[in-house]
Amino acid sequence: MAGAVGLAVIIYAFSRIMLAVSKSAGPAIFVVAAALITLFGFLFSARPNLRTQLVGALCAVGALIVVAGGVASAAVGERESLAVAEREDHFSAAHRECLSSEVTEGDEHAGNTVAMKSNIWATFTLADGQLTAREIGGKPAQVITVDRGNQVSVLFENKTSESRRLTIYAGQMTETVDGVDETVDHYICTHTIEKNNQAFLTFNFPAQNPEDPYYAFVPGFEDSKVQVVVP
Amino acid sequence: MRTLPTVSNRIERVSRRVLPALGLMLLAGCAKNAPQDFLHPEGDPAKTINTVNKIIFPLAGIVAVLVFIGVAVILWKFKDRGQPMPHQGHGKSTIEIGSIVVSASLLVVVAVPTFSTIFDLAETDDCNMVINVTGQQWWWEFAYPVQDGIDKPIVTSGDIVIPEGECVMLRITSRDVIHSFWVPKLNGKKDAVPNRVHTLRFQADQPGVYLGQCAEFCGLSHANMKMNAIALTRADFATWVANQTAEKPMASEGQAGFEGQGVYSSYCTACHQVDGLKDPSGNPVVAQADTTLVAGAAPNLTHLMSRITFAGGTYWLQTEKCRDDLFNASPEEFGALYLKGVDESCLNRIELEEWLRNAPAKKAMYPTLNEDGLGRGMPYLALSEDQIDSLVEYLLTLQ
Repeated sequence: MAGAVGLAVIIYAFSRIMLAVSKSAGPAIFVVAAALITLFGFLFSARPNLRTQLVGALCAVGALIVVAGGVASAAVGERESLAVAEREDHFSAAHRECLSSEVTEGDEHAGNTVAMKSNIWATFTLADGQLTAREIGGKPAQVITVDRGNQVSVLFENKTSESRRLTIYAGQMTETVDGVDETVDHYICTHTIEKNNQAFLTFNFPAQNPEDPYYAFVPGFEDSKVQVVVP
Repeated sequence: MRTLPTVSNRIERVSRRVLPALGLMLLAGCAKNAPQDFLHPEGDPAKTINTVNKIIFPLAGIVAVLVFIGVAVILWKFKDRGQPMPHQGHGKSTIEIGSIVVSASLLVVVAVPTFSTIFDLAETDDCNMVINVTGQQWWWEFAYPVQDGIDKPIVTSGDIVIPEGECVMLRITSRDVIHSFWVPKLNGKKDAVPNRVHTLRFQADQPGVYLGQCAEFCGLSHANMKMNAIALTRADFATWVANQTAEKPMASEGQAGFEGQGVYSSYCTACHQVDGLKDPSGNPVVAQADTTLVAGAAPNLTHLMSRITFAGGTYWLQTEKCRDDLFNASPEEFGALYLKGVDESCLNRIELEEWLRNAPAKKAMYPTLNEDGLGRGMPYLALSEDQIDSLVEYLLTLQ
C-alpha cells in the first residue's frame, strides 16, 4: 500500500514538473529521465552484488529529486501558455476564435482516435499566401469533396513565416443566446501553428445546403479559399 | 440387438453423402454464367492478379498432390499390423533440413511475384479519375468529386459508372462498420474501414456490367450489399455525367409525378436527397439523414431511374426481359441501352411497390430506432396503395 502511494506521489510530482517547464524543455527532461532510469536499471542488473542499502539510497535520492521538483513546480504553477489557455477556455472548440489570426494556445483535437490522425482525407497547405488542398491520391486543388455524415480528418501545413490557423466555414447554425434562437455562421478551426508546423482538424458535416457552400481559408489570407463540397 | 457399425461401414456412409457434394462443387466451377468469377478477369488490375494466380495455383496444386501422396504412402506403409513399436529416435536431419529448404524456396518463388504485384496494384499516379466509395449498412455510395470532365459533384449508389479502359482511383471508406469492396472481374478486395481511406485501382476493358459484392461480413444484410460496376465508352460516360449533373426541375401541377412528389416530400426527405427539390418557401430540401440513421446517410435518389438496382443492389429496377437485353448487349450497344435508363415499360414495378409497401419485409435491416433515435435501413412507412402508386410515378421521373 505504502509503495503504491509512493509511486502515485512520484508520478503526480513528475506531471507537475512537465506542466511547469516550457514545451521545448519537456521532451528533453523526459528523455533524460528515461535514460537515467534505463542506465540505473542496467547498472543494478549488471552488478547483482551491489549492497541493498546502496541501491535503496540511490532510488530514494531519485524519488526525492522528483518530489522536490514537483513541489517547486506546483508552487510556480503551469507554464504561462497553459495558464492563459485554461483561463480563456482555449481548449473548447466553441471558444476558438476562428476568424482571428492572433496566436492562441490549443490542442490538436486530441480526443479523437489515432486512426483519424493516421489517415487524413486531405492536406491543406498555405504557402506564398495561397491556400491549396490535396486529397489522398489527388493533385493540389481549390476544391475538395468530403463524405457527408462521416468523420473526416484533414491536415493543415503552414509554410509561411507567421503563425496561422485553418478555418472552415460550415454553413449557418442556430444558436440559443439568452433563450433566443439566433442564426449564426458556423466556423471550425485548428489552433494557430507556427511556420513549418502542422495541425489536424477533424469534423463530421451533414449534407450541405447547395445555396450556402462551405469553404476553408486562413484568417489573414481571406482571398484564397478552398471550396469544401459535402454532396 | 443393435450392432455397432464397423469403421469401413462408417466411411462408406460418409462418402456417399460427401462425394456427391464435392462433385457438385466441382461442377459449379464449369458454370458459364458466373458474373463474379475472378478467374476470368476483364480489367488490367484483375488480369495482373490472375497472372500471379497462374503461377501460384499450379504450384500449390503440385504441393497438395505430393503431400496427399506422401500421407497415403506413410499411412499404408506404417499401418499397424501388430509389429513391435519401432525405435523412437530423433529422426533424419537430412530430411528435416531438406524439407525446410524446399518449403522456404517455394515460399520465395511465390513471394517474388506476389510482392511485386502488390506494389504494382498500389500505384495510382497514372489514374485520371477519382471516385469516393463509401460503404454503410447495407449499400454502397459512389461520389464523384469535381475534376476534369465533371464540374459538379455527383452522388449515386448501387451503380459505379466508369469510362472503359481508363484507370480510376477509388478512395474507399465506411460510415459504420468494416465492409469490403469487391468487383471480382475488375480487381481484388479492398476493405472499407471507418475513419480510414484506402485507395484502389479500378479499370474495365470494355463496356458492360460487372457485378460486385461486399466481401466482409458486416451484419444482417451483408449478403444483400451488392454493387454494379458499369463501364461505358468515353463518349457515353460524358453523356452519363451530363445527365447526372443537369439541373432537374420539380414537377409542377398537372405534370407526371406531381402527386408523388408531395408524398416523397412528406415521407422520404428526412433521409433521401433529391437534388433540386424545394420546400414551399423555395428553399432547397436537404436530407437530414444524420439525425435519422446510424450511418448518417441514405441513398441519393436524384437519378434513381438511371440505375439498374435499388435497395443496396438487392433488387433489380428493370424487368427480367429488359435486364437480359442489357446484360446480353454487345459492347457497342451496351452504352445506349444503359443510358436509356428505366422507363415505364421496363420498370420492375412489382418489387419496387413491395419495397415501398414494407421495406423491412424485403431486406433484413434494423429500422427500429436505437437509444439515440437512429435506425439502420428503411423503416415501414405505412403508405396507402394510392400513395405507393403516386410515389412510383414520381420515382419514374427521376431519370
